[in-house]
Amino acid sequence: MAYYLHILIMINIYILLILGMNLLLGYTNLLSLCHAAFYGIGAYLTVFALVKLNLTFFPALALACVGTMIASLVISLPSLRLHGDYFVLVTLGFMMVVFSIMYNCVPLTNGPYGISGIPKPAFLGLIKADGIPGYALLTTILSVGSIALFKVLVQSPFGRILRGIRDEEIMVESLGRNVFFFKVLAFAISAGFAAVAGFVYATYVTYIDPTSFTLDESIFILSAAIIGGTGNIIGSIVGAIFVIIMPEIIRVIHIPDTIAPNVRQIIYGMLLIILMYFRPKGLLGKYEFKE
Amino acid sequence: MNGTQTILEIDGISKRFHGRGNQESFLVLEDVDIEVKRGKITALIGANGAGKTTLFNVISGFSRPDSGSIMFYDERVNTHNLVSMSPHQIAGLGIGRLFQNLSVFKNMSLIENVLIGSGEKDGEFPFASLLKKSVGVAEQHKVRMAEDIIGKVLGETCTETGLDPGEHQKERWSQKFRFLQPLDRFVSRYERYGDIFDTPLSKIIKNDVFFRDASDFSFGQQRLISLACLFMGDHALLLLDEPTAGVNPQIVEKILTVIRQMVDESGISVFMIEHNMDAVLKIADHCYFMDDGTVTHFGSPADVLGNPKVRREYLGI
Ligand SMILES: Nc1ncnc2c1ncn2[C@@H]1O[C@H](COP(=O)(O)OP(=O)(O)O)[C@@H](O)[C@H]1O
Ligand SMILES: [Mg+2]
Repeated sequence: MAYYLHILIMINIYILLILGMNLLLGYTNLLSLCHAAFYGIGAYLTVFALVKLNLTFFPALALACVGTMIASLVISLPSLRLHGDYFVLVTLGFMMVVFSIMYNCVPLTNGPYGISGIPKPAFLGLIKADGIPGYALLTTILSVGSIALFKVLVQSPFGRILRGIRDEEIMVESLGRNVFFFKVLAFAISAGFAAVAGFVYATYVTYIDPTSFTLDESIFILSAAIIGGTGNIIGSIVGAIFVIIMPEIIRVIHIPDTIAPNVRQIIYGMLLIILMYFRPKGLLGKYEFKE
Repeated sequence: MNGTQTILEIDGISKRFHGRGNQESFLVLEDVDIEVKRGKITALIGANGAGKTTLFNVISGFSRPDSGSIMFYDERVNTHNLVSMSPHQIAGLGIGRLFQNLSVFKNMSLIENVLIGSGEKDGEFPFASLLKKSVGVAEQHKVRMAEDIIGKVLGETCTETGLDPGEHQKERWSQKFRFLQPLDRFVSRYERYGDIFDTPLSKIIKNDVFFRDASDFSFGQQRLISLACLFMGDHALLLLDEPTAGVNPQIVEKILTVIRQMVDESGISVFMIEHNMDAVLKIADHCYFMDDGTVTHFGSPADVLGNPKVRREYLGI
């Protein structure tokens, strides 16, 4: 039972991450390689809020979210005026800088040793000491809530402008909208979703270190978003389920542990290639990713 | 200048493109003076490469001129010099633009392509619809307006053409991955009903033309869609860059009618680049002829098109 609940929790965390990525990729046509940086910033801010500030659940979550969204401005304000490839490169640079800080700034993050013993904040009395059932419920509430929020967001006039930017940026500008401003907002909201995932991850695993928030992780989230499909919500959910379940299937069919990660990589890679060729909008996506 | 009759006054605009590498730089626009009259249709004609689109880019702020000024007189006779403004600020004054090479938001539905044209910016802040009830109401109002406009602008062209669903998708699909097709159907159903606020539209949801992606429409229809999008906004001046180019004759008629309607009903002023001489003669009130970056002739369309030099240089007769 605990095993299935663990999988559910991981799916929920990845739904949060992939939704945030989807907002950029599938709704705004922005390719970001630093999603894991915001995931990490959210996680470390959570620890800071819980351990150093002794905050309770909601204030800590709010602090992690808002702090991460503000951190996103550091990169979006100078770089979102740049186009296409330049922006991708800037996010890559940011990812590397953030990782390097997490890894090397020992007084702040305890560097490669990580931080253990992260307390689980009480959430409406749900979370018990053993954690797993309570956490399954909590993460489900959070991910369902986030899906609902996401739906409101993308169906609102704001979402319409984002999709307009995705399709024809210049036309949106010529309809009197400040495209730059909308991109900055989208980027911040996307970072906010990643921060919620970071919060959940840190308090669920109760241990974090920089290796969870690498460039690899960013690329992994990006591929999951593309495989599931972008430009709608169901694609993100499918993407999350797929990337969490697939390793388990590999385990079930008795592929030895030593080569399992490689097999996984190969499957993702192949799948991306096949999808790009035959079905560029991903398994269930709406938007055909072009750049 | 007198702002009541003139809406746009282009004065001495010059623009030089700097060539890359060993290419020579050249003057695309040289001391261009044009006046666009309020409530009238002004046509701009000239050979390909004469600099017409560049002039539009300068007016709408996508390109900076090297010298000259562009004055816009709004309804309250305030004067704005467009040269120092950014594209969205210029658009915010009520200056709409139809691009030569862009028409629609391809992955957005017909109805959304029109809705996005609304000048109503309230409620575009993230989650505004959760915080303010008025946003939903305003949205319903917009949808009703968009329905009206679509009926007026596209009306008969939609039914007569009989859209072919997702032509672009079908090709890739047909041979491989056929087994995934039901997924697509599922997804599009799931979306079609979710994609829009609860509005009167949901009652006529069977009319799924509204929810077709704009890329499913023919080129001519796409031009009409972008006119509908402009119709949705609250514009004082429209810059139309070859609205009828590459469109079949039936839809050309429709496009001209729609433009005329906009001018007559809403008092919009139009400045349009047009290659179709019949169209110019038919709907334009004034005409400018541009040759190699300079305006060489202007006057009534009949005069300009009747001028021997224009006929020789442009029409080749
Ligand atoms: N961004 C640019 N850089 C350099 N040259 C350009 C650029 N845009 C247009 N041109 C050149 O300027 C000239 C005028 O182009 P354009 O305004 O598009 O002409 P028109 O719309 O009248 O056909 C053409 O020779 C074109 O090649
Ligand atoms: Mg042109």
